[in-house]
Amino acid sequence: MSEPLENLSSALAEALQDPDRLPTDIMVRGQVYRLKRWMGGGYKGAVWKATDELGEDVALKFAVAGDYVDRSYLQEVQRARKLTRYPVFARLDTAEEIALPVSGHGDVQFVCFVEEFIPGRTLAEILATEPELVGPTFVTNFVRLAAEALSALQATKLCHDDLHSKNIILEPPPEGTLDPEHRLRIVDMGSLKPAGSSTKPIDDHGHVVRHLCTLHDAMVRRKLLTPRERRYLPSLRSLCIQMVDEDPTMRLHAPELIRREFEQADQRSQRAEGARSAPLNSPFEYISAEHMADDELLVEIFADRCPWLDRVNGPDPCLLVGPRGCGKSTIFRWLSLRAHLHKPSATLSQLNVWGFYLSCGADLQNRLGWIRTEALAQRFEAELVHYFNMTLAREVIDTMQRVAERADAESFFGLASPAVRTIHEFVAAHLPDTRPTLGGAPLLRQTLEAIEAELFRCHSEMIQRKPFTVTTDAAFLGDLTTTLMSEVSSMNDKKIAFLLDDFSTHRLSSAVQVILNRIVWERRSSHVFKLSSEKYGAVLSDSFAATADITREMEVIDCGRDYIALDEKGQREGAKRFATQLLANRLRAAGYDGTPEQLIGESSWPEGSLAAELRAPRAGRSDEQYHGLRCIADLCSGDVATLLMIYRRIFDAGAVGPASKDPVAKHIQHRAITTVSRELTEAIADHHPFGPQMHALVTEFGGLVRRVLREGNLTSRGKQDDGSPNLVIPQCSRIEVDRTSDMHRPLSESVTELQRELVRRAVFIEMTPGGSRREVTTLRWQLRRVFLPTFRATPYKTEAFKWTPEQFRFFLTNPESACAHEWAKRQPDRDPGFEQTSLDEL
Amino acid sequence: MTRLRTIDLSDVLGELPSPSPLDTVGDAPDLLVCALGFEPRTSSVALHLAERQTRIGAVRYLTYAGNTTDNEANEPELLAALQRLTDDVASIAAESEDLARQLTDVTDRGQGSVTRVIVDITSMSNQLTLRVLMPLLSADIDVTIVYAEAREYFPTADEHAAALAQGELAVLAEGVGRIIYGVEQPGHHFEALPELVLVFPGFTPDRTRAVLSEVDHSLLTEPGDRVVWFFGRPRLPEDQWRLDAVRDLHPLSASAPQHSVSTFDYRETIRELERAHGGVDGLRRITLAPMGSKLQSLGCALFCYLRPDVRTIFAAPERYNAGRYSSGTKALWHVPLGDTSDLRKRLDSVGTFVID
Repeated sequence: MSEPLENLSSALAEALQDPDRLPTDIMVRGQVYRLKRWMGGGYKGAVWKATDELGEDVALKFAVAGDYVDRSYLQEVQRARKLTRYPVFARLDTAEEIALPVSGHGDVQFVCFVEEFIPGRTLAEILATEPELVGPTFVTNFVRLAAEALSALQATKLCHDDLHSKNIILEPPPEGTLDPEHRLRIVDMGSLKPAGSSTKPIDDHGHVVRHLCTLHDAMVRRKLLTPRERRYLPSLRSLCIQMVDEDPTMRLHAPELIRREFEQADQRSQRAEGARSAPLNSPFEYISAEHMADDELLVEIFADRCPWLDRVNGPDPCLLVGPRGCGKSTIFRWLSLRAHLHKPSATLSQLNVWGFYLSCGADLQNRLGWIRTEALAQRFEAELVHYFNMTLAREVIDTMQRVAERADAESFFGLASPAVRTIHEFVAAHLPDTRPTLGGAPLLRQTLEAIEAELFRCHSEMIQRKPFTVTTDAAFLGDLTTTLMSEVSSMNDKKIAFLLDDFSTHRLSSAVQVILNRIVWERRSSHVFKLSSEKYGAVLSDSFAATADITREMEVIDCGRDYIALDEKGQREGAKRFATQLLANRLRAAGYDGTPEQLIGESSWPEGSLAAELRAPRAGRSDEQYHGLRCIADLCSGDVATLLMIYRRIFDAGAVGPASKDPVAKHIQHRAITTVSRELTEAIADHHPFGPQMHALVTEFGGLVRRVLREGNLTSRGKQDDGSPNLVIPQCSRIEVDRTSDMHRPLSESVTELQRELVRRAVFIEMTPGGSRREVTTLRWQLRRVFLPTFRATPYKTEAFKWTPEQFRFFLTNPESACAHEWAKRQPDRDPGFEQTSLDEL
Repeated sequence: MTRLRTIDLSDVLGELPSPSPLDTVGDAPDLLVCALGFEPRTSSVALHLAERQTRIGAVRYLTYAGNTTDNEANEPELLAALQRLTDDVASIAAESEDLARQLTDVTDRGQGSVTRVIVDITSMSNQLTLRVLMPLLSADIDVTIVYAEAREYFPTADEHAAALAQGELAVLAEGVGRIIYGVEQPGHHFEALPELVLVFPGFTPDRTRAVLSEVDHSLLTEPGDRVVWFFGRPRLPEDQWRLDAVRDLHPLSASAPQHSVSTFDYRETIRELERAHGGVDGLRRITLAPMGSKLQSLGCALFCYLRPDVRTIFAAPERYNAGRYSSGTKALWHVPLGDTSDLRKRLDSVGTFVID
């Protein structure tokens, strides 16, 4: 028998890898083990996969006998036995010193440990080959394992003493497992020592910290991280540093604390918003719904008196069109199930649909906006469909994951564990890569991470023009919602609605829309689509060249138009209620004492009306015509963002604070309103395209409206009680064009584009075509009301400029002359003393 | 006891080369990428290299769809200089959807050896600089940036003052042609979060305003802290007035976040952008609007590699005022970025742990 070796020579280490130089069968403690495959090794030994006499896999570790001269391997077996009840560790069955015949080296003394064989990939292998698996879920899972292991070792007063990344294995589930989940296990129990007796420079805790640092670095290097992952990284970094704090009293060392801190960090990263003293820091935080991360807050400040809410909130498909800032995104987000998941089930029952929200501006524009031509869209048709599918699937799974976290997930929603598993498997089957499912981590969250990885992958390959495997087609979403309906009982109670926000050509080119329309307009009993877009923003045909009859497929709701209908008293009152509620909700959420009625107050005009105030001579009077809730609501109907901007300016100028209850003075309100109006009017010039042209049109038209109001002849409207004519002040911010066929010449392409842009940007609001006397279509345009204070005009209408198509063309192509021409026609026979003011004086 | 520290961006920036005067570009680079522009300096680098008998494997010069007449006026001189460098000269449309592929097709010819690529950004717009650099930074090549500094930039101080006195702007460019999101830098804007726009403004405020309007119209009227301004600080003392001039063209509230950033030292651009990004990572949807100097756009490209969650946006003018944009050539500079895999390794290490 040879002397016990303390280290293997290179030649011997190499020989230990070669099955031809080792015996096939090895006997340990009377049991025969058949060598199958070399697993790893170094200068202290080697590990082989083997089978026992019953065909069970085991791991045989051949350790140099020289390390056991001063100690008995039986002691390590005895120590390992203490850990048998902790499933995180591989089971060490037995050990014996053997003489292993190695061809060319004779019999070599080894201590052979027989350990449970754990299949799978080591942590080292995962980091080297699949770093994209490392995210918050993986790290949290690792921490749970590590904390469990450290706790077990503490309890048994042991240390593993060799906790490097090759001794941590991600074990796949055995075939046929009902809940097939991978779990992390610790192997190589042959170095166990009493706690505190290790002579190695890095202890078990130190190894765990190093692994966490490596996991952290893998995430940093991956770069393609979701916002949640980016929020998680600083916490991970900070906790790693805490784990090695020089001050033992500050050091994060106790296993249960380690686990808790990491779990909390994981939870915190789920949401962007931090802790707040009030839901809103100020009443005017988050003017745009797209910027509000907190769903609960969105719902809290949502003004449900929005006049067209009922029309959107039904089970049928619809297309909601309206200008930017009119609240489309807010209402679509409000319709989503996710926004309401903080509420009790009784409240959720009142929802009309189970909505899943997708913002084209946030989720699609950045990544698909470069596909502008038909040729490019067709080249990437399959990829576009797949990307779109994945984007919506992401929202569905994110929502269902939040549902799964609720206590009533099963009792109210009918989302039980088997359903979660089925949904997960449905999605996983449609992804190209099989990712391991980790035990102890929410399953749908892992589904979500897999979808996000797929989104990154397919976008990256698309922009590199690489062909890649597309694993879903146009039927995918229908199949997904069918799966939801069959697995989650509540999904049958209401219609599933995909809420596609801002499906407009400035977000997604018409070429891309045409491709996606195959999915959007596919008739599936399991779901509907609701779309919002800017006016003329949604393309109405699909890649099969089928032009959709949109009025048959879905109801079109033009919220810009609806709001303009102030001629109807009901609408006007509705708009005021909405404007008041919008502010009231925000004041409440920000912890303000005052109410809109107290702080803004009612509108009142000594002359009887806003028009009379504006027409009356101004000498010596302070300007305070624009003030009060009525006036603001009328000016901003349909303009939620503008409404909030005006309120904000009034509050700033009036120094309104949380305790304020006194009304802001009228002249301050007036100044704030006219300033906002002027800023918005000036900002038209910055629109793209046609900004300067549109600005010129508004400036000229606004000037005309103002002159007519201030200087135009009073208009007769019926008779007064004494029989004299009832003369009213002309208020005229609307254009009506009779498009008679005999006079109609088509506009040039560029003028048509300008015309569409004026409507798309809501510079003018296109109203319902009128049925005119001669049964011709009448184009009716209303200047966006919020521009009118710039020109000291009113938002009300007593008459319209009735133009022929030629006059309209004149206006679009040469607004200055067209407006001068119109004014010349209306030149009043007025008393010579009537003051003439210019825009510059305003 | 184990000690942890993270690699800071400043550790890496210290290892990046400063711009230094260009003499030669070493032995036989494989590829020169440049652009045909309207400024007189568009041929300066090519002429300089030709005068030094430099031989280059291939040249690809990028042509713009705008200002074509002005650009074409410079083409004979540029082409003549390029043909002295190599027989393999070809043009690529700058707007080509496949620009990245066309460039990497050339760099992939290396057949085992590291391809040496010279990128002359003298006549590249900010957008084109990023479109060219992003794919090159992802390839395994050796990159040197070269750049010809104009003798005089317009407007001059006198022109600017005279224009302002008349209530006008000295016009470098007219109108806003197109607003484009960067294809290669789409950002990761998956969540509903507040916007943050990082702007490098120039002498054309209408382009800046158009970009802000595109991202969110309310940024024009209610920017709050959602727009961070990076005003360019010129290299030479005699040009310092330009910093104030650009500031004056973009009147901001006292509380508006703003920084002055060297127009020359691209590393300062990376550092300041990283600083703005660091505090809000994962909490804002960040958009970068580079409309500053050439070397700032180099900094922006490296920052975009570092932070792919940031998207880029550009506003091209309808037309540049070719006759009054710049004149002459003052100096030639180069930035030898070197082996891109090494550069990536260094940038990738930012934020990772070092265990002592």
